[in-house]
Amino acid sequence: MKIKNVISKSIAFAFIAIAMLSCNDDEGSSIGLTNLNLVFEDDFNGEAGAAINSEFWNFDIGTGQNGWGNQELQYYTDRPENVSLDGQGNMVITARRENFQGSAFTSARINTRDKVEQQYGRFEARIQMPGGRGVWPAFWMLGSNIETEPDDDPATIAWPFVGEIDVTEMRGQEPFRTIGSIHGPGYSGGGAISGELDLEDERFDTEFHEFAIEWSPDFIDYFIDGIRFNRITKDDIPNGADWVFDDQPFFILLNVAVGGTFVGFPVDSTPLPQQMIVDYVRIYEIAN
Amino acid sequence: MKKIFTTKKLSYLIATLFLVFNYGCQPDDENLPEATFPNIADVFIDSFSAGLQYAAFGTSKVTAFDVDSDITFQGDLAMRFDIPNTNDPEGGFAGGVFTTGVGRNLTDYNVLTFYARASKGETINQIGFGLTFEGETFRTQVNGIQVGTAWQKYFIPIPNSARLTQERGMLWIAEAADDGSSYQLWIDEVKFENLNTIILESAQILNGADQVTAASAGSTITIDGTSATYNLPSGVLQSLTTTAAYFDYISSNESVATVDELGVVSVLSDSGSSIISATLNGLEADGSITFMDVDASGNVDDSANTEIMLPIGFESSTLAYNPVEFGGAPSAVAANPQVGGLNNSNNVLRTQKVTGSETFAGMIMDLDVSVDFSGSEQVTALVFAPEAGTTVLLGFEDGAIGQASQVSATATTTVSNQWQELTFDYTGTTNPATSYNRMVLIYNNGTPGDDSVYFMDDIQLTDGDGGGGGGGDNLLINGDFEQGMTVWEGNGFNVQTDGGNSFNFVDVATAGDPFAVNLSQRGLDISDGDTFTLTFDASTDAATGSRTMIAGIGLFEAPFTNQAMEVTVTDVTQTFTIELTANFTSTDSRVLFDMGADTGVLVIDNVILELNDGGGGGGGDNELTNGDFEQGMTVWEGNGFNVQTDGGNSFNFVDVATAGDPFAVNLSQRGLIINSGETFTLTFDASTDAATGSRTMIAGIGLFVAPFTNQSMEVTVTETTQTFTLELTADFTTTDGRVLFDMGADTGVLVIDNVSLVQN
Repeated sequence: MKIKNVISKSIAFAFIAIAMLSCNDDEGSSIGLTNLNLVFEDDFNGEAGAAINSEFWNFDIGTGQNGWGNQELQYYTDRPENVSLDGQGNMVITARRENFQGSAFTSARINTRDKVEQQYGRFEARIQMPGGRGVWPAFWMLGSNIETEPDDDPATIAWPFVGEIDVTEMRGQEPFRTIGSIHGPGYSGGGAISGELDLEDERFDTEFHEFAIEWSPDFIDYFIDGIRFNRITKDDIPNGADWVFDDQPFFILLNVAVGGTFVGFPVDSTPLPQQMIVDYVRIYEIAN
Repeated sequence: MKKIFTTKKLSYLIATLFLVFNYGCQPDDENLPEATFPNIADVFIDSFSAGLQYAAFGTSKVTAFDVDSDITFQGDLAMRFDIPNTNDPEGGFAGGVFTTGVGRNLTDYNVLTFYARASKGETINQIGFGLTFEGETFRTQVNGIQVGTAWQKYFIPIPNSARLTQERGMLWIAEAADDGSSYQLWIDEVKFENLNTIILESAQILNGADQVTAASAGSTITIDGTSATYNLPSGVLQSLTTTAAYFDYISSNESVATVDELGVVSVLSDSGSSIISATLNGLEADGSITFMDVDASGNVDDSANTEIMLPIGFESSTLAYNPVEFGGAPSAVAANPQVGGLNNSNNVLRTQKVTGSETFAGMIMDLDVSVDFSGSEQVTALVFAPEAGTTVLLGFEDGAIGQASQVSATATTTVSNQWQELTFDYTGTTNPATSYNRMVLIYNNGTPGDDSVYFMDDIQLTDGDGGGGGGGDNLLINGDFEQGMTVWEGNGFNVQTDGGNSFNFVDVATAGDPFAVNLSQRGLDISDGDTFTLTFDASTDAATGSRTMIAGIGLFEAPFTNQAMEVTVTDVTQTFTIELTANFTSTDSRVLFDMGADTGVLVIDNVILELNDGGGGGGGDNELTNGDFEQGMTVWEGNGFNVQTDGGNSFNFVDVATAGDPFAVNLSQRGLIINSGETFTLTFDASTDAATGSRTMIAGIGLFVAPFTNQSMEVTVTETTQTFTLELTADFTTTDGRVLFDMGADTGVLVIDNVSLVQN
């Protein structure tokens, strides 16, 4: 993985830290897009144990191909044990250590494909992340015309050509670090363009943080709790590579994977179950 | 720089030899100005920190420790242990304590951290802090940390740093090589830190067990089995063994038992009950010990009985108790091996499971009167076993039918060589039509005998009065006031006895604030959102006619948050049942009766508080996914898995052409966690078509793999859709169990839909 930028800061002393940073593009400031209109919001209000709103969300079920392409170990379900509202205004995805359908773990992955899609704007979610070695949560986005099964349909595009924007993903053994990446042709998987932000003496799995991107033509800004910590632009991708983020709307995904090539595998002392608690997801468009 | 002191001979198992000096816990009774102790964090950075000394364990290789300037994590020096060969004549392990002469105030820190590496991958036996040669009140240790050949950071959390106001034990280690051959271990940058990234996940006293024992005035018991589990900054759990002195203790009734800061329980009274529980840094610890009322008259006395029936105390000299062994477990009425405590009676039932016996060896004993489970489906018995963890299977059956009619339940002892009351729960499994006239008893079912001797006594149904508990355990002690003036409190606590029944009695002369006349039982562990059923009987006298009172649950202390209701009682005894949802959290919550707002007599009896299960009314959660087949071809499997949809409804459809083995056409859903003895309700709709008319199938639960153990039944389906409900008790344990439908033994169409499996 190419690390474009690593910023370590303490939220409590954010402004002191800012003074010491020497970054481009006003990184470390809260400066972002100002002309935003809220176009989608899910506050996850409802009774404890209730299902999420199917007008917005789809479930991915099962183990995918080769553990969703990453040798992940979990079986994704739509059971309330794995994904439901908590009755306190949150949606909870719970990764569990249990034998199910031949898998050793269960969890959930939800997406807004064909239901809520947007090109450009601000995409944000307030989340208390799960942790634990081998646990891999993510709030991310894919191009809307992704090819899910190999086909000859020219209207669908295979990954990574379709583009992927990871607002945040985390390795559970590094509960202090959020990683924001983009994947495209020539810069996918281990070659993704990434920026990281490390909390100082705090953990993402003990409290809520707001993770956001602001996606404009030619660049994407990454925010944590309203502070911008990274910008990825056309200039950051390899020479000759295609910038695939100006072509189509993207949809949102939220999931907690267990195991896999990115995060490594859980151990007996991995604390499970683990919960990704999502307070809200919001999408803003850029006003004309 | 190098400081090595050999000291008096000490065992590798240090705990057994040290006296505990209660320094730091003694009252400062001379009113000396409070001494201040330095809050130095560094233990070993590039040298011994101020006042630090090293002393090796006497039986260790005392020359094993040195400092090293070549290999360090950073800076000039690291600590190095040359771990000896385990057969080294100078000592087969390395270890010792790093202490300071003057205690340090460590209350600002929450973890001891250090870096370590080794010349080969190794497991460090024990490492911690809080140990000195003068005491170990606040000893901690982590067992078995893995050290590799690269530097890595390690964490030993301070369980409760408020305790460490003058700690001298900075670090201790005891390590023998895993494979017996010597190697080198380096430790560097040892210091106390305060990290927000260390999370206390759980804590235990008494190894997490909820013990029940007899209260014996004057005795003391030291809380042990204390530990805590932490979520480390690396996202893994690590267990820490601690001393009892880090915990905060609560006695639910200090007139019966008190606990000091070191976790030593002093029993003050034989009468009354008290629950001792603990918290660690505010987190409630698993485990407790309950001291029960000791009252000789509390033991079952069936000496005057003319028939053998529950309750059985084995005290009759005329009845012919006739235990009959099977498989090698001779049984007989014998003398009580330990008179006192919970069991003051003379005679008990003795069973010896002899060496070489069948694993299922036990005994049966016929009863003259069948057990009547209509009032209660729980049986208690006193058990005396040589080991904690002994499983006790107690069953009842119709002697004329045998095992097919049997209900059985298993309980496990948590103490050794001590009488203990065990509860056997048959809830939902007894059949009113069955004559339960035979008792079946097996100790350690599944394990061959080893000549161990077991005793049982006082076999009796639990108190069914108080009306319709039907599940759940009463969280209250002395809810029926039969134990007299104990556990309850308040100025309205006044037990009277009439005609053998005890109850609480007040007569309010002047109306005032409701709480001006009150009755409470505290020490209840209640969390926000828990729902409870409070049941009690209440009445007034004819002169009063009717009056009101308030009943509910709440905090024992300010702000006295509570959930309560006003009820009106009359001169006819009524049973009140109130559903309450807690809006507060406290381990010292109470049941409350506020009676001061109205005048006149108020009699309260048979108070029961039960925690409601999550599922509630509708009954349990379906263990199955896609039980209605509306999700199509998913989750289910088998060659008989074939979802069809008609008129918007999906179902499973097969048409068997040729009859054969039942399992030749099968439908299963696997991945179910099922434990032996658990009972399930399997419900499903099934039908056939008009051409077939009727046919059979088998439905049940079982193992997915050989030996395919299962509990299943044959049902006959017709062309009219029927809903089948099967009650199944698992006789196997698996994490990959299944629901099964075997459909191959009969020909024709079979439609299955709306399959639900609910654990009872």
